[in-house]
Amino acid sequence: MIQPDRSGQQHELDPQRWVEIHGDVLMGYAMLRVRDRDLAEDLVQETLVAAWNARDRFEGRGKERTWLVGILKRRIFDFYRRRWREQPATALSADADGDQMMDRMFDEKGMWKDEKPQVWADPRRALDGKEFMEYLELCLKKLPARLAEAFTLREMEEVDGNEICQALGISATNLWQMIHRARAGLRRCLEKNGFGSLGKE
Amino acid sequence: MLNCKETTQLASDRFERRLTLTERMNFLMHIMMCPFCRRFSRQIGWLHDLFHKASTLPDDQLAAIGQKLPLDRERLARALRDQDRQ
Repeated sequence: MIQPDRSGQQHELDPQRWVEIHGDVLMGYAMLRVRDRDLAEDLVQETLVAAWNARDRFEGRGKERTWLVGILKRRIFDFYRRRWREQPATALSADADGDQMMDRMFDEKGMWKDEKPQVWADPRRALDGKEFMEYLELCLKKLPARLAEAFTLREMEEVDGNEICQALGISATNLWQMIHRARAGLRRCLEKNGFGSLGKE
Repeated sequence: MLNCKETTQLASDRFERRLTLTERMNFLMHIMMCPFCRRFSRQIGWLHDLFHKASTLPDDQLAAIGQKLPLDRERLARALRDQDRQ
């Protein structure tokens, strides 16, 4: 692709430079969402290759970065869609989605058991988004995988709930239950790790 | 009267859909009396805000995360050049 530079001169777009300009940002974006270094790198590579091949069609419409992030977003969702489709039916049992986890929180009457929610100081001022993700890293790993994945897509990627339902082959009610379980599990894990007192400092 | 399990489900559902009038009334009745569900409800709201913050990190912060996981830039650039050869 021939692009004019600041001085208005035409020059060839260089792959090396493209990787340098966008690589780290895309990598950071992917890493926050898939939390696996190798997978994040694969997704970034797929994104850059796809974009590279389509670069003539882009040609300065909007911001290049936004366009690339859009492609990456789609790749992340497609990755999970594929993975969910490949999972055997047994992996989709209710148990994998946190029945046991909920049973540890609530008794048979649906009342809180021993680990009731404690008082927290508002953590929002104490943490920026990056520090929050560092905290979460630990707790997302402890959730059943599909809960963590569906929740991340919904809460961070803001993927439409209906699309996630279709990809998982479940109803909206089931998805809401999964998302709730992810929230409840995260909240409890964060609390155990001292999250509730962060806001006091 | 809702139990705590049902109440926390509704607390979570508020981020996914609009609750019905009955659900909202039952929810409010329960959290008025139950400090644990009240805490739960407030805390997941804070977490929701923090998720939003994390999902909208500015580019320089994303780059800082990316830099810690050094990309194999040579390999990537090569992959792009290879595309042009095909």
